[in-house]
Amino acid sequence: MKSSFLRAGLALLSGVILSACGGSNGSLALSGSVNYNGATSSTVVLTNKSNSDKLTLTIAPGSNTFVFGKLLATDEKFDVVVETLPVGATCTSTEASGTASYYTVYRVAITCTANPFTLGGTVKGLTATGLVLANGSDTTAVLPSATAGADVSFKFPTKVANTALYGVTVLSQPAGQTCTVNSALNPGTMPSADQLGLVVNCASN
Amino acid sequence: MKFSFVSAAAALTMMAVLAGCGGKQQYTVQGTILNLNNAGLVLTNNGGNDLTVPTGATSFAFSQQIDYGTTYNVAVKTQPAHMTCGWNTTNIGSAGYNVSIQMTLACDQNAYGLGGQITGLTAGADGKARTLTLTNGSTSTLVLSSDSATSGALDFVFGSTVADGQAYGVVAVDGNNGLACTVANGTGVMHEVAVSNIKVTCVPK
Repeated sequence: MKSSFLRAGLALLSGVILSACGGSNGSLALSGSVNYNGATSSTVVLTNKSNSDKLTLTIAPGSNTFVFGKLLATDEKFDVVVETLPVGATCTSTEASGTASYYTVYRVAITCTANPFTLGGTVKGLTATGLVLANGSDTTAVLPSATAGADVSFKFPTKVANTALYGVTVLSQPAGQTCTVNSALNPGTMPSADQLGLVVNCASN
Repeated sequence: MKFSFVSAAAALTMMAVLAGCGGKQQYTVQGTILNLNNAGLVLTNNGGNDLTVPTGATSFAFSQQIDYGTTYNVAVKTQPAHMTCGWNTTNIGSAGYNVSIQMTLACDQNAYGLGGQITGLTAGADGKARTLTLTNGSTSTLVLSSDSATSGALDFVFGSTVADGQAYGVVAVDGNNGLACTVANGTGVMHEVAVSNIKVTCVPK
């Protein structure tokens, strides 16, 4: 007699708990981590496309954890995407989609990389030493090829933020030559990829 | 009997401790230094005992120790080349107030403004304001508006300064608004004084 009362009570209690979990009758909290290598805190917006649950997250440099507000039922599909990237960064994710179970819902891992892209290009006609190119405060010295006048490639040491402006100038001319940066791609906005298409033309004075 | 032994021992210990605080105690006036990358830093204590601190030093200690209760006042007599050092902690105190004297001096590379003058930044034929974006590589950007200009002329300074010894390279980003803008004196290395001679000239396309 006593135990059946208890059972009834338990059943009621579980009913209350489950109803508190919201629309999908779920009990699994979708969670994971965002790794960020930026120098200062930034903001990322995550969305579970399967149930339109959106999460705005302030991310500090290093590892950050997150938990979505809506709970998932067992076998409910989830698909977490980065809706808004941190400024200047790009993100990749692993185990961000699947079918909810105790083994899958806490494994979403997102990695956001600040300043992800390389700026560079080709110098044509360079025969002398002394050429220094600048992208603002970032500089790179370009030496002539062993085969005089052959194309030489260059890359700036500091990577550039996603969609940031860049503008390359000639900080120092090579001895006896004048180089100009072709304006076709310069200045420009960083595509969401490396920009290695800049052209610098050098001619003897 | 036992108790009196204990109190005798305690009295002895107390005396030993008190002797440790006595008038003969000497203190080294010392501290830590952050980010000292140039030579030339000279510190003084109470206006004397000049101490030249070498490049790269992370700490300093004056040769003359001071007695318990003596005040100390460490000051920067000469700043290092191209740097300005300031106190992160108090640099004045009395020996013996803490177990040891400790203070922190932090040094920063001097930085100067980057600017110049623009001409020809006029409103469009429709009377709407036109803007020009200047970018110092990917380091900093500045948007100028014809609204702020007088007859198209305007003095400008980038919002962020450039540290002594750092390169800069300013280029004009084509705003596709009917203006063709060129930059003169846009590239160089910041040294000792602010740059104010960048000339941006805009003409109708």
